[in-house]
Amino acid sequence: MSFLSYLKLIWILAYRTFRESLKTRFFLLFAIFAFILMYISVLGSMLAISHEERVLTDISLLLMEILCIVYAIFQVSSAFSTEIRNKTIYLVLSRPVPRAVCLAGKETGVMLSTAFIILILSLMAVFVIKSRGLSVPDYFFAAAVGTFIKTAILTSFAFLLSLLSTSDITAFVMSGLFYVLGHVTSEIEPLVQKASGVKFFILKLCGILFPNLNLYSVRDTAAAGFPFTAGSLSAAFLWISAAYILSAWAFSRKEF
Amino acid sequence: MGSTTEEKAVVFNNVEKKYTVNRLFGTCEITAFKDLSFSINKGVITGLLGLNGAGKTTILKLTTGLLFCTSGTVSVFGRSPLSLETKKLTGFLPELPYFSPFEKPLDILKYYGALSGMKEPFISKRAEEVLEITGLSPHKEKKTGQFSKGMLQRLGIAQAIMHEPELLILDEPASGLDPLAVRDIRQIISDTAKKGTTVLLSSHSISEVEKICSEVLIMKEGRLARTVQRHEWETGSGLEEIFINTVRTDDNYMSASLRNNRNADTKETVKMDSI
Repeated sequence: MSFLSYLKLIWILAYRTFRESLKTRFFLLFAIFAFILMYISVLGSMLAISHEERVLTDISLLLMEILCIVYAIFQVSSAFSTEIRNKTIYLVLSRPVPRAVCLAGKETGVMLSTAFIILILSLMAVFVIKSRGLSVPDYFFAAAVGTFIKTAILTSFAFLLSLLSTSDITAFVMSGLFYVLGHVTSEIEPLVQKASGVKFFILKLCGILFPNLNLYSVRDTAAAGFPFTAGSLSAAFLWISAAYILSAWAFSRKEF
Repeated sequence: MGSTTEEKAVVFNNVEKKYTVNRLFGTCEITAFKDLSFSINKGVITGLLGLNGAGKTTILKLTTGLLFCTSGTVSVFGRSPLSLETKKLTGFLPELPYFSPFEKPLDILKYYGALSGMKEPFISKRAEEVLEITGLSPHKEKKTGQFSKGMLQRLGIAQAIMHEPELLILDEPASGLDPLAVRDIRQIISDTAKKGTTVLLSSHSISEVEKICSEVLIMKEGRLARTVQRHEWETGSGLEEIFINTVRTDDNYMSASLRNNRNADTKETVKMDSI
């Protein structure tokens, strides 16, 4: 099989995963819940008399990120268990579809649906901000892109964790923990400088292995220009690729 | 069995399959079967009969590459069941297949056709053809959420034969269906086999297997208890009698070593039926 035919298979599986995720009742309820939550955030912003625009935008971005992360983790942690329960995975893996290609298709599909969620949540946030007669700050869209990169990294690692764990709940909790750890990775560097010997080695290794998700929290830096560096984008690509390769290894050994 | 390897569609050679089961503390291994050897000739319909837990579905999953054998070898048309070349030649219907309730059968068939490496416009033409074969043409505008169990089973067979496989693997194809649906599905399987497709099916329905198969493998507690050819049940007392006699009296012939192995692996006592 050629590389192009693999890409075609990935696209077929990704598009299918994307479509399936949008057709679920969960998606509709999630969108309604998200909108209500976004609208309620107006109350919080009203408390800030002089910085309503900033507070409302920040709350909207924070809600976007949390909702999107929860959605992605939920989607990923139940992705394979649902397919195993429904036996739809049998119909895919009994066909000439390499397991690594199947995984790539699923991951791309979940990333597409989270990108779609971010788009919807961004539109909701813009609607809420505009409805208060305020303007949307320039950094809003860069921050939304940052949220997508974070979600993409987390999606990739969540797939790995879901393939290694034995239940949906374990995968969900571990992925959530991973998200939290990703935000404290930047705090490891000062500790590394103080440490020595084995401690130094372990901390350094943690600093490399755990993705630094703070690189993509760009609410403050976006106002000063393009917030992503070549380094941060390359790091995102490497983390996603590394998690994918490990997941593909775990998936190749999984029995159904 | 005087056929050469080239004439074999499926060959199991001393296959052992152990499942690892998670416990609260640690894991334990359960042996599904051990030293299982058999072969299936090309172009025949072979049935797998056995009580629950006899290992029928495990055999089908090993043949489709969904499970990996612990030791021994499984080959399909002389190749590993995991190879993409083999999978191109295989069609699989799992027990009680599920399809998205929001989709129409034509879209589902096109999706699975594309995954099997088929290309347009052949995909659309073949999908229409397969709907005709399985009797789903009048329902092609309905979404599968409106389908009955029998219609879903037909759709399951449709996706399995979509890419014209040389080996069709069916897990309980007639399970829970009404008599008319059972007859139709039997007809579809027979017609597919007449075109030269090898069929391997598992079933609990002895009468169905009796009507459709040329050869039957009777599984019991993870081993092949007996292979029965069509002429044996046609000239003898019938397949049901053979099956019941095999699964009951076969305990007397079960080797002590196999019993010991199974006991050791599961850490549990296998209760043997005493006749």
